[in-house]
Amino acid sequence: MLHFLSMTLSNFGPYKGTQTIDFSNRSGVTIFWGDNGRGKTTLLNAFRYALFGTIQRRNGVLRSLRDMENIEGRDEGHYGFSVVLKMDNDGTIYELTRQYRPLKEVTVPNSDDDYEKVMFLKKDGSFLSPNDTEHILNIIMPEQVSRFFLFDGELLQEYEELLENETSTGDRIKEAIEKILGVPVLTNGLVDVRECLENYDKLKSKAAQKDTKTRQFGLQLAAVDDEITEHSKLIESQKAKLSDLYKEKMTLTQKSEETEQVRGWITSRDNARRLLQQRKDSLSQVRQNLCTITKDAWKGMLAERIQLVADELSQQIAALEKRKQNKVVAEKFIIEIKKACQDHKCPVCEQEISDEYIGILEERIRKSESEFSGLSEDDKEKLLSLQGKLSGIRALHTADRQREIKILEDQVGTLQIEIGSLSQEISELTDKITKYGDTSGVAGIAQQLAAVISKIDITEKGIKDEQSVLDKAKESRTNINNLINRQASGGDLLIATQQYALCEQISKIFETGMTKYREKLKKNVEKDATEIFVHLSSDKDYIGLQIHDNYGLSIVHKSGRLVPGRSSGFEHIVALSLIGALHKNAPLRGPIIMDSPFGRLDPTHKQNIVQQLPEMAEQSILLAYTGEIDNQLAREALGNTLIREYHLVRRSSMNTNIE
Amino acid sequence: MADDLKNIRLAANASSVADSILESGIFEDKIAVAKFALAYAIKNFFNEIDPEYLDHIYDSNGSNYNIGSIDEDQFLSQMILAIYPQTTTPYRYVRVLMDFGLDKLGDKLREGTLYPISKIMI
Repeated sequence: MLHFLSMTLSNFGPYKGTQTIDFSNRSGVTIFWGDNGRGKTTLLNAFRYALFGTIQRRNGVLRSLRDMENIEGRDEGHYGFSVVLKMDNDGTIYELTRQYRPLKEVTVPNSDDDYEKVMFLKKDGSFLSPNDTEHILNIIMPEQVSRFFLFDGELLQEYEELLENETSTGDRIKEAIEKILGVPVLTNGLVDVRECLENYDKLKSKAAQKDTKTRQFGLQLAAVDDEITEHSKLIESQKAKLSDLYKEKMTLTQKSEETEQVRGWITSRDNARRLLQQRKDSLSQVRQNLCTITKDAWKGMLAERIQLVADELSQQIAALEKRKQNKVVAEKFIIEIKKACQDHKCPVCEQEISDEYIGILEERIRKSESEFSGLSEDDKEKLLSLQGKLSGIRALHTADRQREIKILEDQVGTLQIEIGSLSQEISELTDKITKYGDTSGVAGIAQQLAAVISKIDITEKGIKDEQSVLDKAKESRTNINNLINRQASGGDLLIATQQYALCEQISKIFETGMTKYREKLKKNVEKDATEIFVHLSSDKDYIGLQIHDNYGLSIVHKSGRLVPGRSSGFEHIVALSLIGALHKNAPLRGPIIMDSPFGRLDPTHKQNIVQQLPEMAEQSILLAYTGEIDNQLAREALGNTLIREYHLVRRSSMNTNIE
Repeated sequence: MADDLKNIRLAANASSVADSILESGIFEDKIAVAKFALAYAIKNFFNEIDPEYLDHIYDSNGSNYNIGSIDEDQFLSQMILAIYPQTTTPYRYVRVLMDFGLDKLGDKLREGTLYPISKIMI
């Protein structure tokens, strides 16, 4: 069982200078109290860095290991950092040192290239070779299962989520669960037995070829064996390729998440630029339309004045025409009266007209001839001229285009506002992108990820197809083997047949054993997770957990039904229960280090978790922010299993003391 | 009696105003601006303008345009003859009205009330 004895940090993150934490060799719980920003997650990362050489940021990106250098130390000329972890693994004392230090020839480092990474491991005081160091570390704390030892409480609920979804990360977690539970021992055994079976099959095939009765079958068997070997190799190589693709996908997914914000900015800027260009094109088009209209729109502005002139001309023309018309009417009247005077008879009633009245009529004729004389030659000429002018004026009339221009100007205004706002947006985004730093390659991540996912799909389908061919070949081999078995009567073939049969039985025993072991493990994990869950949960209607094939867990209600859509608080508790159960069932045991494991849990659940901590692992290290749990209640709940309490004390914003 | 013009040469100030308005991108060229100014002057200041008098006031230090290019369809001359029937020199009137209108538009430009241009067309 692995136990951390001490850890010494030098200029690591906010931990300035050299500071040593003593965990003691006692079993129990160590608590670190610290406000936000004091370095709790950095402490978790110190373990991770010492063991695996990696740092995980909760949010954002660690662009360079240099970012973990203590800033005040750097300003004082102390470059680089180191972590020394002292551990006891079943009585053997290991001291693991990992350093990030400037190269010898560099006095003032400026980039990652000016540093070197150094790691060495002492076993009971003696240095181990790099190969041995790697081997030992992989045995005492394989990185693959580290998520169950070092974990960030805020990311706890991801486990269940990932296990529920068919993701490559979920597959890795399942693999990690099986690894921590020791399943690979059996898996590796089965692989070895299957290899032996292949060898016995070849021996049998050779023996069959030597026997005249089975020669033909032996040849067929050899051919099928070759086919099986070929397809198996192909499947293996495809699986290796798939594994690489999964890794690539994981790296790209991580990069994608880390660069999500900056990619968002770049995408937004690209979209804004595209929109800006569209708006500029539209503006140019609208202005062009405006220019076309304004070229003649001025004519429309004269319509009023032209109408006034036209009206005046019309009035003059009307007066002249009236005179002309009056003469026509008067002429008709005069002719009638003249006839009446001549005939002395009224043309209407045919009565006699007296001489006296004839005199009056003749006077009236004279007056009318003078009054309605019509147009003079000058007047006629003037009328014609006025009519010509009016016709010319009317031809000048042009429609008013003010409304069209207003619509276009409104469009120009809207477009100018949009262009201004887009330009501002582009400028702000460019500023953010520039401040982010190097973004080369960032834009292509989504396409790269899509390409890798596509390759994964193709490879998975290829493996499935190959597997189908392989299964058929194996079926064929079984049939040929049965034929050989019936014909085998003695000598080498009989012995080879018996050897093959024996190995086949052993293989079946392993296969069955593995299935049963898996089932037993699942039952045990389910039982232990239930036990922990019942202790942690405050809801008495929840009576247990049910494990799925993928190691995901569902809450069981007292009615026997599974609880759908549990809260994030219960996701948290279920994940903790799973981790506790895995530790109980794992051949590989070690400490649990939890960063802010209480999340948004209520006080009852927090108290229950604290009480359960000593049961979950032999050594638990808890990193809690002040007020996350009640320290008095925690002390009471833990009793003598609380080994030590440390406080992360602020000296400055870049300097934390562990006291 | 003065002869009519064969070329229209704007006043220096009017020409400069036309350049500034042209920058708005609303008009195709300075001639379009000058014609717009002429219409603006007739529409809003017809009774105030004495073309005969102003013909002697404005300088001729601005841009110069050939009558043929300014009045291809003879709309301008016909229009001037219609509204100023007494004149025999329509292009002198055109020049005066353009200068006058551009001066007025220049005032609005300085006041910041020139745009939107559709507003002053009412």
